[in-house]
Amino acid sequence: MLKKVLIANRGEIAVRIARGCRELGVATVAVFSEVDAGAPHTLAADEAICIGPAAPNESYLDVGKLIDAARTSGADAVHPGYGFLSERAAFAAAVRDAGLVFVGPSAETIEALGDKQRARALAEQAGVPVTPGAALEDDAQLPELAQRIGFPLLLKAASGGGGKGMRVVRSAEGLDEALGSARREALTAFGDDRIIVEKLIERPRHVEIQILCDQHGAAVHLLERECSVQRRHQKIIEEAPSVAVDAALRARMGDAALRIARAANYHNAGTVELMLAEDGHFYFLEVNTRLQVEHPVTEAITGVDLVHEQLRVASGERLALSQGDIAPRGHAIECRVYAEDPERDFAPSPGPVLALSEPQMPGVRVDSGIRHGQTIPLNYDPILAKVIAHAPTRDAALARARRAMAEYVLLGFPHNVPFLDAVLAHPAFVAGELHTGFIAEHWPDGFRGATASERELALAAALLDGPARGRSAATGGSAAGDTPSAAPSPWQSLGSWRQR
Amino acid sequence: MSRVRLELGDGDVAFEVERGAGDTLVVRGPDGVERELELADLGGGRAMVAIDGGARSAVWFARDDDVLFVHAFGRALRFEIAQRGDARRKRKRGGGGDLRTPMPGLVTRVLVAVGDVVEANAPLYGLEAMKMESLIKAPARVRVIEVLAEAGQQVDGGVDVVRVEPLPAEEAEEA
Repeated sequence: MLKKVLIANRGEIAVRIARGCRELGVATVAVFSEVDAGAPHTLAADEAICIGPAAPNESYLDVGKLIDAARTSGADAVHPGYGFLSERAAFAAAVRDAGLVFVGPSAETIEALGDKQRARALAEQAGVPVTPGAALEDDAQLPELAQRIGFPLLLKAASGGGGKGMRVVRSAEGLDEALGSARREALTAFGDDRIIVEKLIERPRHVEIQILCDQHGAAVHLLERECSVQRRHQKIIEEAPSVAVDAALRARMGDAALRIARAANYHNAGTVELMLAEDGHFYFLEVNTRLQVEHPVTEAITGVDLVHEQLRVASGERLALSQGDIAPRGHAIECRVYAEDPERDFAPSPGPVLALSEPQMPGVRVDSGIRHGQTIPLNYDPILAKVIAHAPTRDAALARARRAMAEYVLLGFPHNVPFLDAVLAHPAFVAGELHTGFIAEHWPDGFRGATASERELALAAALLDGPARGRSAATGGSAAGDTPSAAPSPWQSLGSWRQR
Repeated sequence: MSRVRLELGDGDVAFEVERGAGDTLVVRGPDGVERELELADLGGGRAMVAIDGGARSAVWFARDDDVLFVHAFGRALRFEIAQRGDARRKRKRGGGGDLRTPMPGLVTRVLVAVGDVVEANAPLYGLEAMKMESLIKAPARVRVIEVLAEAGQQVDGGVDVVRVEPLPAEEAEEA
């Protein structure tokens, strides 16, 4: 087994990886940028090393600094988490060249699967269906290519993931703007602005298969996850199993995923993302060569700790699991908590964590990367935490997830918990009628939170008159009962206030 | 007694707050409906509240400058406390929508020039923050009267990148 793992990431995933390492007796090293000096992931490891300023390029994306930190700390392995450098083949290669173990597939596999064109070709060779489409070699070809494939189209970054650099185009007029914007986003996010043009399958479900392969040729899949509830092509609620997948389809999807894994000489944990059309056909989307954000729903229904398995495989151990051991137990739903304002088209909305109380109840797991008193930096992805509810049935898991959302208290900036709760409560979600355009279909004019009731307004008025008086960032402070009635009422200076 | 105005949807509503018997506060709503609140501050951003002598329930609250955050009765609420003559209110009354940067970020591109007349929903500029590019769009048919930043520039939140004026209906029809 590995002795000491450097976690080249931040936030909830770095905290979760540190926990997984510690459970196996593996020492951990956190890295942090200057704005993350007090962040939970910095505090979660056995030791922590500052790797530079807030800008990701000068810290979490700086390969040299990460390798130096691994060497300095005496780590024998690097876990990349998700995002940042997790899918950069050059990083995996640099780790290996430094004589360290990369907790993930080989640099060659990452490179092959990270390039969407090569990944598509590989899927086709493995007998897995792909959607019609082609790489855009020359911008001047776009109108013709678009005509040939037919609208609606999807433009996506050749080396992308997570919805970045991805645009839907419904008519020829939108092409130029979408191309420019997709390219720019792709360049910023991945340092590569090559674009793929693809036929858009309408109302598909996003269903993905978790795979796990050792370095000795053994491979299993850990069933599917459905991640159809997305905004800006990024998942916000995931569940396992999928209501749209029966045992036969699960077996076919799992088979397809393992064929791709073998063709790519895959080892460690990974995810084969598929698009499930309304007619029951599925198409290859991409392979994520890393741990997924939503891996806990798989852990909940299979009882397998994926971080533990990653560490074992990376150590060269053989898989102890066989396909027959893996069967779904109950149902799990994950809600991603983001610092984003659902009432403003999910725009990032970082701020100070003035109050935080995360749900604690049976069947609910919270993977959190924030703490009270922290200010959420605006330099990174706005994900804050994940709440995973597990129960014997989907209905019970849903009820648990809703209870957990009601008990997730986070004050200080707008966040998406009210929206997550609205999705969970939506009749179409309850009925499992999902597709990747779910949010756009059911909230065509955006989300408006419930307006405050008269009782709530009265409460706000009373709080402002009493414990919440004063303009500084504060959570209460005055002791019970000492509200000075002789002090000038804040209303006189407030003028007016509005509720949104 | 003090008076407050709440901006709710279409307009302002007046509330009056005064001290009642003991530690209670009386909040009088726009319809003259009175609520009597008993509020116990527990410290650390927690309080117990009972409304009209009903059951006590726990609430969380936090104040950050002109915003009050409350988590009560199983949900989160956010109240903005605006000063009289607040810039945002003026802007809102003046029409044209708020085109200011929603948060600090990098201006990725400016898609209009001074004098341009653009349709509603036409993209005006791009802003990248938290790894995401957002396009700030025209709220209506407008003319660009000023461009204050250029592509590649880092900007604060709440600043103008592009200033526009709404076009009078007759001019809009000609153009």
